[in-house]
Amino acid sequence: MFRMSRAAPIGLRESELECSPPAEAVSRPLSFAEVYDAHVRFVWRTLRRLGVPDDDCDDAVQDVFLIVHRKLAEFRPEAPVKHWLYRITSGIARDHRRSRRRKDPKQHGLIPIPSSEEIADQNLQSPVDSAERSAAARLIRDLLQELDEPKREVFILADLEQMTAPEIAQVLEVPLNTVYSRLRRARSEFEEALTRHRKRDLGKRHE
Amino acid sequence: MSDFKPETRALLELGRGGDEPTDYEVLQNRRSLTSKLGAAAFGAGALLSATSKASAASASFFSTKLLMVCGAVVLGGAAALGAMYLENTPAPAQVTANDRLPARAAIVKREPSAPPSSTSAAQSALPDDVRTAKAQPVPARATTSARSLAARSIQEEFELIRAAQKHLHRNEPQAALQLLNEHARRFPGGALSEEREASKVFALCRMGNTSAARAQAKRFVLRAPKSPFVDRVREACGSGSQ
Repeated sequence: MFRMSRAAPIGLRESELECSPPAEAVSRPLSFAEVYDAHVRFVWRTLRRLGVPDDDCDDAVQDVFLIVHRKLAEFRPEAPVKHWLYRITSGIARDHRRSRRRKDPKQHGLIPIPSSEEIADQNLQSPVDSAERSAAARLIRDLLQELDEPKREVFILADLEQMTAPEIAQVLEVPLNTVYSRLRRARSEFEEALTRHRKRDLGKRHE
Repeated sequence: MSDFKPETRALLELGRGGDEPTDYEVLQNRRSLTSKLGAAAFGAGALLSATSKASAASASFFSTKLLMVCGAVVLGGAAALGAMYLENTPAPAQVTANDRLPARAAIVKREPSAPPSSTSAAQSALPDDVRTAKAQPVPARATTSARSLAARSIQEEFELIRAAQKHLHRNEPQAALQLLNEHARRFPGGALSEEREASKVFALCRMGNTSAARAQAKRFVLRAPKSPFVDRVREACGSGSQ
């Protein structure tokens, strides 16, 4: 299982890890474990945002990293590992969406009562705050499902991951202008979806 | 630079951090992957270059560290410590999930430059038994008895810390403190010591015992400066708990 690479080291720099490195960071090749630990959360939240049902996320994340493990030796160091991961992740998300439809009714109109697990999980955060955050996240994900895939992707990367447009262009391998125009339309469609939702919500409350 | 209406922006700011997995979910995920790929995938065997030794030690240390900061999550039950990637400031909208990562990464990434036997601050933040126990990477088929002993003890630690946090949630800081002190008695160098010490600060704050909380916070930051809890501990009673 141990592979010594004869070619140049993969050269994933520590700066490619998701967070800014400490001052003493040394540029050296990263291991699979480091790639996993640095980016698993990014992969997870991206899968959720791309519409993979919560129940399937664990499997989907594993699928992503099984591919990562298999292909890590081929990975070219010129591109940031996060970009490469995103492309694998969106492919996996597509597969999961195809093979399984979400049957949950849209619940985003309700603030769920957190279970004791969720409360313990939030580690002293006010239960109301974390419930609201979860509800907001769920609403955003549901609204995103009303966008087509290209718009959904730019929206997620720009307005949830908060990447810059040039970075998004790199990740999605599209021209910069495409990113800008897609994002503009994605944002306005998102707004429209939110407006529709609020109207439905108000309508329900008056029933 | 947003084209958004204020309420849309507010929704995004609130919900942006709400897609994170819990530490428990990540740990379970990592374990499933390990069993699929073999322990070597997360250890020395997964290296891609010739810089084996340091990275090997660090790769296995990462899994150790993950275990420590995630507490006894390995053993089922909810994560007592979930929210390292979730916001816990009074105004969650201002902080994104990514803001937490530098503190954690600082711990994780210090290790490659220091061999496991070093006395760097990150290392000394570990309780003794975890540090010595994890000098070697745990083989895929560790003996059941050693593991289940350690597992039971972490399970008990976990129960205590979690129960204490439930009290804090229900605004019962005294009851929380009682349990945290019990943890300190029974598991002085326990795997969840960091969580206990941090939780004590919060409990003291809730009780209105600001000076004790701040003293405890100072001690905590001195002992575990790279802890992911440092920022929250510092701000626990409001500004000024340096």
